[in-house]
Amino acid sequence: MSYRFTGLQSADSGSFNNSKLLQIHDTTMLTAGLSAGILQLQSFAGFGMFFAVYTFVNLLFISWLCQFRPGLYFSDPIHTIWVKNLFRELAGFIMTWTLAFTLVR
Amino acid sequence: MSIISKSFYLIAWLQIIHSAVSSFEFHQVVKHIILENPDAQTPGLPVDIKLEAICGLIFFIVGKFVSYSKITHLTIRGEERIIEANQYLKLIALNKASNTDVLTNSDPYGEINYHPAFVDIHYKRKAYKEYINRKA
Repeated sequence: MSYRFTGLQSADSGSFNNSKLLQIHDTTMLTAGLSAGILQLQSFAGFGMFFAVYTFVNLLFISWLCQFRPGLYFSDPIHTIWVKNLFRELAGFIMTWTLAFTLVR
Repeated sequence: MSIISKSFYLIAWLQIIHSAVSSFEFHQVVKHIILENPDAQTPGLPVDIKLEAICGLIFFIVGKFVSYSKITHLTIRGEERIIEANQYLKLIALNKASNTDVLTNSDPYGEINYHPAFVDIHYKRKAYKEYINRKA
C-alpha cells in the first residue's frame, strides 16, 4: 500500500538550490563566451568550447557544492543540472562570444 | 564573499582584459601586414594570449565556486547560537529540510498558525487582563 505523503519535497530548498545553480551557470558561461571571443574561435570550435566549459562547470558543481550527491539537493538532478539551463546559457555564451569576437577583431 | 574568491576574481579579470587588449593589438598588426603585402601568410593568435584567456576563465570559475561557503543558521528563539551545516545547498526532502527550522526554532507557517482566526482570542484576553491586574 502506498502512502500518499511520502517523498514530499521542500519548495524553499528547491528554489534556493536552483538559484545558486543558475547564478553559477550564468556568470561562468558569460565569461566563457568572452574567452571564446578573445581566442577568435569560429564555428564548431566555439560550440565545442561551450560544451567543454559547461561540462566542466557541471562536474565541478556536482563534486564541490553537491558533494557527489546531487540527488539530495535536486528532485531531478540530471534534468536540472544538465538540461534545464542549457539553451539559456548557450544564448548568453553566443552573445558574449560574438561581442568579444567583434571588439577584438 | 571571501578574500580568496575576490583575489581569484581580480586575477581572472586582469588576465581576461589583458588578453583581450593583446589580442586586439595583435589583430591590428596583422591588418597592417595584410595591407602592405596582401599575399603574406597571416600568423595565428600567439600561444601566450590563448593561455592567458583560458587561465583567466579557469580562475574565474574557481573563484565563483570558492565564493560559496557552507550554510550557517542563527537560532531565532531561545538561546542564540550559530548552527553550521556541512553542506553548501539545502536538502530537498521535506522531512530533512524542516529539520533546520526545528533547530533554529523557526516556524515557516507562522503567518497561518498565528492568524487571528486560529488564535484563542478569549484566552489571550484573559491572560492579558491577568497581566495588567498583576502589574497594577
